[in-house]
Amino acid sequence: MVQSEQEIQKAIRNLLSHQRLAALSTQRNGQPYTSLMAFACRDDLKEFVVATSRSTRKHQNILMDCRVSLLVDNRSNEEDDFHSAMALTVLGKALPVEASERALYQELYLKRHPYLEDFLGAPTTAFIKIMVYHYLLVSRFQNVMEYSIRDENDLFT
Amino acid sequence: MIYSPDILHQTNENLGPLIGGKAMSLFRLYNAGLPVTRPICIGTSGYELFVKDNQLREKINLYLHRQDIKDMRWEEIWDISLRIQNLFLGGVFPEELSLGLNNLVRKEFADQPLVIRSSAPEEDSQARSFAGLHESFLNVTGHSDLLKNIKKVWASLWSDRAILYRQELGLDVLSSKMAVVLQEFIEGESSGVLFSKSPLDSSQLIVEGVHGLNQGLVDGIVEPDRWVLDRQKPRIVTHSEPLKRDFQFIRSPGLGVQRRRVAPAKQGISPLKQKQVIEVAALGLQLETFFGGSQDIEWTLVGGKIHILQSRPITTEGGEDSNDKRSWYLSLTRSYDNLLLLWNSIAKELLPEMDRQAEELEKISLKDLSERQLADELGRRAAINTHWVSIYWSDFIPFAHGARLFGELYNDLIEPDDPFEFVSLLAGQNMLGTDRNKLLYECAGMVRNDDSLRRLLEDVRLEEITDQKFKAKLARLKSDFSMAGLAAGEDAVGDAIICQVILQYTALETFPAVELSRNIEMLETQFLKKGEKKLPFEPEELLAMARASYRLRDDDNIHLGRIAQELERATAHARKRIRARGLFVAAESPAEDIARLLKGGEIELKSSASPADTAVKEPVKQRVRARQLLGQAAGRGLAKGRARVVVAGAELKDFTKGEILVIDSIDPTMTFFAPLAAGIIERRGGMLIHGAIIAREYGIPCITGVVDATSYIRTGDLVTVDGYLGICTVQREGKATTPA
Repeated sequence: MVQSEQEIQKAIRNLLSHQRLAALSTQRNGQPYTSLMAFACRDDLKEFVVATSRSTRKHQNILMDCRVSLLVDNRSNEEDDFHSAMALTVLGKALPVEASERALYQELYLKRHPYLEDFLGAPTTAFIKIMVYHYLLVSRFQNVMEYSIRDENDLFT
Repeated sequence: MIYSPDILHQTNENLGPLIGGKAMSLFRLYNAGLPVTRPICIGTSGYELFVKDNQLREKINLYLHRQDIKDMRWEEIWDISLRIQNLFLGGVFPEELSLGLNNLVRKEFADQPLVIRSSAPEEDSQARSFAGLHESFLNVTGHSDLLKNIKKVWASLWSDRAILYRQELGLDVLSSKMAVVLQEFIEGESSGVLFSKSPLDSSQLIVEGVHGLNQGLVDGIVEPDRWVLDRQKPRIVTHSEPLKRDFQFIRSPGLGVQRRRVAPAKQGISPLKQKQVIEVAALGLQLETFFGGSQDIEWTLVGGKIHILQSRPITTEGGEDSNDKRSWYLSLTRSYDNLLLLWNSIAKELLPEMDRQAEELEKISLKDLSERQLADELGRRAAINTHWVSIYWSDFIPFAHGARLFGELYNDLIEPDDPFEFVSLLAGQNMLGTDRNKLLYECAGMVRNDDSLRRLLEDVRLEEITDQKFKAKLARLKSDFSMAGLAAGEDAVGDAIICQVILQYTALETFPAVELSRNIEMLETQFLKKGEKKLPFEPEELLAMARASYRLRDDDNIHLGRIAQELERATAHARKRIRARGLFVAAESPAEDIARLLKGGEIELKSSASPADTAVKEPVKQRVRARQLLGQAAGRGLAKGRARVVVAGAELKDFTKGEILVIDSIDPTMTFFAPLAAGIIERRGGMLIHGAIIAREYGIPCITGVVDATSYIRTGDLVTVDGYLGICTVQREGKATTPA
């Protein structure tokens, strides 16, 4: 069946609602770098929020190049994953959360991760929003659907 | 892991899940001293051990989850089933189980030949019967053949019919298991089945019997004698004899069984005497009391003594259960004899008659007919077309099973690494589709050397062509190969397609050779040699039948296309006449309406289709795109090119060399583009469908069963066809931008 925008959104939302962690990819001078991050996502799927200490390598990387990628999946580390696991690749741009939006994003983040309240409140923690441009949803081992959530041309031409 | 009937004395546990329904009932019969040979059972844990040792679970999962099973057609499930069954045949038998069996078989059965039966835990329950869905193997001797046939019984859990049936019943396909029963094989002089309660009249019971083994009866190959008895007495009410008692199944000198002619003297004699019929019936009633419900029993007669082969509950009493579609699934496969009969009638009667009729229609000059005569002619052509379409479904489509039956037997015999190796023995024949393409190539050759001819084709001015040789070839393309534009409808569009295709063919420097694997001869020799000893049929005849089945699967559409084209020619001509009178007639009006208009009658004018009706499905929003789509790898190779998405046949005329064809389903009347195509993506799935057949003939990468291919892929997209993995990757043109 052809997937409508609503259907793919539903599939993405469903996957995200069951996961707490995402692998974040940043890069510096062409060297990729991957980190495991607690995340929260807006219901309209347009923005993610993550938090990290300002001294981390990933934060330095983001300051130098805001283009990032996230991977969220529902694998169970069992053989069944090969046919049943889904993986979502998120492509976007990482920007600091502005003071005017902080309250909204903080509520979103802490609702998902209440145990990280102290961490988020520390003055050394950078609170970052990721503006999503594209989603790639992988199912059935190799079936890949692409969803452009913002009006941008194809990243992969 | 291995159980004998004594287990029932040792435990009160429900053994059904461990040994299956069939083993359970045989154990009970044996323990009760009823006439049944001693059964031994390899429990479902043996199956699980084999699956675990060979890491089959996730392999099966990956096959079954490539697509939603509900979206798959039966042909696709057959393909998957063949792949899964091949995994079983190629699996290594667990050593511990092999050793245990070796010792046990020696002790229990000495060197006697064995019968190996399936016993699935869900099987033979009161609620549902799996009769006929799983395999049994008779007359098995020697340790290695024992192990091979046990694997085959396990594999039969994954037959196309078993997968479909479980799906239908809502059973979890993946948690299915299988136990196996071993018994001494006994060769009866007569055998049969017994229904202790007739499904039509509960006061009666039915006995059916054949000479020899009951294999032929159970598989529907040998027609039985049939007795209906009054259950009260029991006394025979009616005895129906078969038309002929010409064939029977007997034990092969080697393994298995074989079909042989019944000796002429025996053909006139019923397989059971009246007294024996009563004895069989009495035993049936005894078993009914024993199990507490009506039974479906298989029996055999050895030295005049009745033996029970198996007994299972009749699942539906007093009528057809509307939920039980098993008989429908079983009807998807045809017996060998049925296929031979179909082959004979298709090749010798139906196709020649269809061609004769097409030729007769082609000769009629429509413009010389009066309005009334044309109206009658239209009606006649519509009826002829309907007649052949119904033959197509009743005879041609079932005959396509011939290639599949060959595939199953070939894999069993040869155990190839590639479960579709058998296709190479069927491919590379002269098919009408490839003959037509050669003719197109010859036309293109003439055009290449003749600029004036090229100009005429470019302007679609076929009537001005004077070259007689070229005209003759053109006429053959139009008539013999139904290229006059069946899909296009109007004459002018048909001509435009032919012109365009010939012009495209001029770009072909050499004609793509039909792919012939060098080792086909070796494979054929190997098959015939092994088949001689082990197949129940003549291997040469089987191969010839399968080749005919494979070839006809493609050719029959072209034959049928000639008839449809003649109907279309007449309706197009009639439309022209009606329009000349200033009346409106839609291109899609049926022949009956056009005939009525010709005769001066009126038809109900439907308002022209609303935009919603005519829209070719709402285009998929660009925000959601397919990057990679999965299908079946149906033609090996890798190709990259621009997609040409064809929804209506007329669009084929735009097809240019080097493009990737993306199409809903290919009809052999359309396969003229094949030598031009870099790759093929077809929505309809299967390894033995037209697109896959023609792709293999020309060695073109092909993926079938790509659900929604024509919706997600658009003409002009850059597409990669991975014909090894069955994956197509879609790239869309656009400026490469990244969020800056």
